[in-house]
Amino acid sequence: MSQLIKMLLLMFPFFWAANVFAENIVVIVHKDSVINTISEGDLAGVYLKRKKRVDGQRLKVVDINNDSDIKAYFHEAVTQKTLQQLKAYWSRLIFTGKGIPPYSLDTEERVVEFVSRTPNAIGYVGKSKMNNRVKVIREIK
Amino acid sequence: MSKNAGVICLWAGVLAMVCPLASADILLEKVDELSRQLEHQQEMIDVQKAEISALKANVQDVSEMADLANRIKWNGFISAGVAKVDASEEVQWGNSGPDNELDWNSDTIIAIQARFIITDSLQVVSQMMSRGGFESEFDADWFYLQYQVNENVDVMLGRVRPQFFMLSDYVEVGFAYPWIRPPAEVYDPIPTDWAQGVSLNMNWEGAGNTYHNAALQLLQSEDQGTVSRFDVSVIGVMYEFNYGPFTLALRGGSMRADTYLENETFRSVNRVLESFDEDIAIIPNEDTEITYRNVGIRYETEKWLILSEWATFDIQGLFVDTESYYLTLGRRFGKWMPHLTFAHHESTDDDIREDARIIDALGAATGGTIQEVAQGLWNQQNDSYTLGINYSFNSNTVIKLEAKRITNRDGTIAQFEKSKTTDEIDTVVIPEQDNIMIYGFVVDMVF
Repeated sequence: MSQLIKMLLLMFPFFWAANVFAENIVVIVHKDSVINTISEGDLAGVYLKRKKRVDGQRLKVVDINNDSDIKAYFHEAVTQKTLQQLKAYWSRLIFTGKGIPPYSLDTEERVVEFVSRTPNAIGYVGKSKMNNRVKVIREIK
Repeated sequence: MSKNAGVICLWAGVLAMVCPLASADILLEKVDELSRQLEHQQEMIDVQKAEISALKANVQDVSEMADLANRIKWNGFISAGVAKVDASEEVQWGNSGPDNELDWNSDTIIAIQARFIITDSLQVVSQMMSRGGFESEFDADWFYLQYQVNENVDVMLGRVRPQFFMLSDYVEVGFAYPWIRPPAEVYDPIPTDWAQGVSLNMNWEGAGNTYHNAALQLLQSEDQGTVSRFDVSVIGVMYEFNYGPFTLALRGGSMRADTYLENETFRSVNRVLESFDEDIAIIPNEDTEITYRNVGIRYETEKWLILSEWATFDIQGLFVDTESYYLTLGRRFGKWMPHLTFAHHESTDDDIREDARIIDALGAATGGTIQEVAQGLWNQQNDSYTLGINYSFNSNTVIKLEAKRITNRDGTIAQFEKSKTTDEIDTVVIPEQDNIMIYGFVVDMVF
């Protein structure tokens, strides 16, 4: 019996397992963007495509196109949704014609490249991936 | 001869003048060879230029095809499920829910949606759906033209969903809600089928990260109910308020219906009743007034889910007016989410069906066979408790296992199917047991 309890206790972390990401995530925009900072509430609105503009600028939102750790961590921290909840959220909009998910790219490197070439783009990447052609407007620890 | 070869020959001539004659012959041979090589290379360059031109044309074609591909977006969803009502009688739960036989029919749906982007502000959306198994036919459930007037306003014109309930728009997309199917107590009094017309949709941002959605719908529908065929026009309004994980949804509207009762017994009863008073007719034939109201809340974080709706449905005549609600509580533990739902449903106009004239008319029209069960057939009441557990197989797929206990029916048929009344009123079955279990298993997927 005690073995069973021990086993169940060992399994508990799997039930509660939260996503972790090895480094801080930075939210980036083009280096010439007028946006210098963004609140977490605005960022959630932007990534759920509820908020259309930040500092008067209409944004091209870029997400990551897979079930990666960084995407899971970012959305749990910002939109408070697991990847499955996020998919369900977009399903509710896609199948009713009310919205489509953000444009998405395969890798963090491509996100940096896209944001550095697109003046109104906003994306997120691991801190080590950024370069001097993008500007950090929020860091998520 | 090419320009480069000419320059080489010129240099060769100059060299020949300054070098001894023997060396000049060798040089001239070399020059000829070089000239031939250059000419050959020039030909190769011309061939490559032609190939590049052809490639450019191909790239243009591919680019145009890619552009076309970008303008058509495909999405879809699948629910594959089995369910069974554990009752000794032959009954079906809800308008299209499970029955006594364990099969895939009630909860199996496949749908494919195509979105054609015509311009930045104009798109056509078509959703083809097949219910009740993979061999069933596909119907166009949604087919509309959507025009984005500006950042905050759009208009949908075509076949759309009437906004009766919080989940009306995606009532078939099992992946988008926690249960195998939405609670019949709230969702079945009005069939949530399609209607044609116009939907004006608005959204705007309020102060402090609040967001608002509203819609006005003017729709028309012809549909086949369980005991009637109707032609209905709908004026509906919807408003949703969102703040972070919290959403409040308000819906309401009125419908005008022209109705034809399919069942001859009902028609004869109706004629007798109408001769007394139009107010106690089963349903007025023309211009029946129907009103509905719905209040919903959703609170959803990565851990918790609270969903609740309260709804009323009032229809002129003897058809039941209803009030219903449910409350769902779910908690996520990693990939697992157990959830519990309590639902209640009741008819709110039982008194009008207790009128002696109605009982007598029913008796006269059916030779007395209906009187004993009339109240149970018309009146509706039940509570239900649903316990489910969902497992997120991946971000596109959820597996759901569910058990629902229907109870406190007070002898009424509740939300059990009454379609058999269209053929022969005596065959209507009111389940004898008060507690009836429904079990189900489904895999919901989006792509």
